[in-house]
Amino acid sequence: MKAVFPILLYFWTTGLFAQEDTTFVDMRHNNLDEVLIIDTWESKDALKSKVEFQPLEVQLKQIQGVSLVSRGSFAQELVFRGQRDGRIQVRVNGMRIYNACTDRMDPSTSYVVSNNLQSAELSSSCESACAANGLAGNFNLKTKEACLSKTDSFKFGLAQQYLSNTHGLNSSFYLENSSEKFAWRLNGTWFKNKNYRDGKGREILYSQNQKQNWSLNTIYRLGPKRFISLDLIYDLATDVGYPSLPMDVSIARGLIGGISYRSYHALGPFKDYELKLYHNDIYHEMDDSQRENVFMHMDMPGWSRTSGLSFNAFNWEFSRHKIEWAAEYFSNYRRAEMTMFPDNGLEPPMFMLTWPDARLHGLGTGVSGHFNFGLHQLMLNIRFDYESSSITDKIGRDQWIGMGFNMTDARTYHLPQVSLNYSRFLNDQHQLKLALSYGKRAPTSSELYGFYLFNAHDGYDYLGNANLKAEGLISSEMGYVYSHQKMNLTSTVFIQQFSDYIFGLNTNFDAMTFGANGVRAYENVGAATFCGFELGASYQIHNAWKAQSTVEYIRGFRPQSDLPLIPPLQIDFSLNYSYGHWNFAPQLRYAAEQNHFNSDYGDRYTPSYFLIDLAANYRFKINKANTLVSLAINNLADSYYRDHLSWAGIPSMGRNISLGIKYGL
Amino acid sequence: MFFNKINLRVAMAAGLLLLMSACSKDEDDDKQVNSNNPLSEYVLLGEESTANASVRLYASEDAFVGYNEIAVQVFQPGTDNQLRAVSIQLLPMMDMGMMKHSAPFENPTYNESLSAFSGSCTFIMPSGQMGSWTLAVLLDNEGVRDTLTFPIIVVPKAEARLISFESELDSSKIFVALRAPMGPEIGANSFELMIYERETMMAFPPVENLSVEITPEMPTMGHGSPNNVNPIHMENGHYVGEVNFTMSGYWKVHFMLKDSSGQMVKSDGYFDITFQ
Repeated sequence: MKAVFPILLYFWTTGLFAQEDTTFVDMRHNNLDEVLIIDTWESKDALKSKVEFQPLEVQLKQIQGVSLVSRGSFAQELVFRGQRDGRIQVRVNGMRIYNACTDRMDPSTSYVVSNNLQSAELSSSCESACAANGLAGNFNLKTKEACLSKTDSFKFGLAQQYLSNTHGLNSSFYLENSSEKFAWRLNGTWFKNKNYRDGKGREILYSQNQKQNWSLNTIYRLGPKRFISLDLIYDLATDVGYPSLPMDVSIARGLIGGISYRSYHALGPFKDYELKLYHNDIYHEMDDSQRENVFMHMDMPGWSRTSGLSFNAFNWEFSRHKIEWAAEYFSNYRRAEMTMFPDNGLEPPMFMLTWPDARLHGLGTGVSGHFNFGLHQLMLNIRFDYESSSITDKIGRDQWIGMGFNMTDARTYHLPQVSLNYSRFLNDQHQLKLALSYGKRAPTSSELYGFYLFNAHDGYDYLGNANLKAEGLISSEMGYVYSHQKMNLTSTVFIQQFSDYIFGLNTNFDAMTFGANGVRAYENVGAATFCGFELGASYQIHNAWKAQSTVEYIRGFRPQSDLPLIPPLQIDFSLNYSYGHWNFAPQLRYAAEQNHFNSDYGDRYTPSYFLIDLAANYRFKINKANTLVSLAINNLADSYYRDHLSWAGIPSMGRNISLGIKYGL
Repeated sequence: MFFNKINLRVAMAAGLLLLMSACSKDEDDDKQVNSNNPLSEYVLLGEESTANASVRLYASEDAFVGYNEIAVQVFQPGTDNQLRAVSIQLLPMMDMGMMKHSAPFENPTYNESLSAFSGSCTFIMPSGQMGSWTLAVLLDNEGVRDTLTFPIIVVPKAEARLISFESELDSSKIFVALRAPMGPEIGANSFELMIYERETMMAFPPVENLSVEITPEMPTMGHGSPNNVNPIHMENGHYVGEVNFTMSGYWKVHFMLKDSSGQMVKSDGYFDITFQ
């Protein structure tokens, strides 16, 4: 729970609607310490752009160590220190969500829209607390919540944005009603974008998108110190193009709900606790009917349903130490199909299960302790998980028996995680940090049971391997923080050593997908190493002027070869200047060339690029309502560039001018 | 009397329950319900009698060009008593007017689980204007011999279950019948070939010394499948292996035959197998 990343990028929080924006403001009236910030391990939020209206993923990318894998301009996949998918965990309000798309077109982040994000918490493997068990990092996206208030109140806000590059329109609103006992908040967003254009003015076909997102949060006070709250998110994306992939998405639908009970009455030694029951249902349908020259049309629907029960007890306090305890149970069901339709009219459709009704059960519990000895601070986290998965469908089992696997037994994994964090204040200005962690993760459904899943980046079909062992990680970090008045410097060096690393290796099987290069099967390949550093600096030049900069570098390799999709050296520099109602935020982004790539796995050399962004906001009041007009220009020079993490090497967006207005009580 | 009534009621209730449970069971269980008639899945091809015996001839489905599972029940005339000690020989015959020829077959032996004699006959061409098939059942009941002749209508299957060709080695005529899979499914399927040679028009002995290599292919997609097991010879010309269908649809299973010294007998045979 480190590095709480409050979305200061927003005036929704910083400016206009800040004061009433968090639910727990009210809870804090009860002198309750809800947000437990363990320490300020490093300011991952060192660089905050004041740019309005950015998509969620672009905002998250501002956090140090975070990059994005894009397959288009929609729902990019989060990467933290070179890790993604099964190696990091992305939760929404503490709930597990598993994607329903075998091509990972629908990461959990796609169900939260930026104007509904309250905070994003990121912790590395060394920093993770007991409530999550991502091997190499944990994200928790918290959506905005209704808040109780002593006086009845009703608020609303509207926002509208136009994007020049995609001729996109982005509309959103919220309604919020508060009273002492009951409060609710409704947030709605729609957007629609046409194809984007790269820096050479060329249209990137199949990069359009369209979606709506509805989010309802209610909170009810059962007693002075007991609350019950309900979270509902409905997200529907239609007509989403993926230029990196051979197919688009006709429907991506998520229905996500959770009920939580929070009590500030003591439970044993713990001062407060929360119990949460949740369920989500994700449906995803790939579509190639809009594409030209399709070899054979196919239907590829996918389903993912997850239910869970989580329990968290906080604040067992003694002297200056604190202990928290978490336990959870979850169950996930996933199925994905592929039906191909030969167009000769003679043959029947061809069918296979790409995710063969995989059922995953997990049970986990952990304890985190935060021990404060003044200048020395220690955090210890221990967690243990049991996961069991099996195939529940006969066709699915037969497919794998046909491949020579024994499918009678469920696959079970015992997954311990331990981390130890030590930090020491050398004096008022200098702080030194050391951390070490060890953990294991179970293979994902795709790694266990994925059946000929096409990877458009390297052009191979991937086969699961139900005999995979758990993957292990030993991770260590060393950090140094200097803060003195106007100056703040942070640095982190990390090394992550994987064992039984899960990676696709070539087989001599025939590819299933027409035109694919071959078939790779997941194996435990032994060691893989990731190491790198992150630097951050900020300096308050003057009351109105602030400069910030970050540097990120990472290498990822196996003993013989570089690993694919590793971001290059990246340097960001931004200035922020406020003058009266005005705010200006120019930003420079530089990415070095990437020489460390793996062409066998779809990578290619990526040249360096340098981008200039400009943003300006003007705030004023119309009657009593706060109004904000914002203008942002991304990629001012209309540079043609390619991000190293773009699948299939598609170029990124050229100049984009966005104009937005927000209005609200 | 009172107890009898109760017993009757109990029995009726139990019977009703059984009936209800039988009704609610799915297809798999229905087969078990029919286990007292193992031939219920078979088709009756004909029934003939002599003074000594009456014979019912069954096949696993309507006779087709390819490997047919044949079942024969022999009864004492006018009774339901099966004669199990008889010895049975088959003789298929195609009468084409100008000429006659037989077909490969396996003489039936008594099969307890089927409660019938089971054997096979591999019809090598369809009935039609060219000629008509008969299948003669030759009984020998401790010296008492009888011949019962059944007219058979043999139809071709939409996807050939039998192919014939001349050996690339010595021009002898070879017949390859696909016995399994009968109902293919996604995943591993038993793959069984029957291979015969035409010695004369009346003799089609099994070929037992071949090595078989199979390669499944989805022609529409241009891919195959991994983890197939090449059929190896078991007995009497039966070659058993496994084919892995990774998906449903149209498959072409190629096979290649070589003799014991590695010389090519057939380099490019195939069977089409389509299922949904």
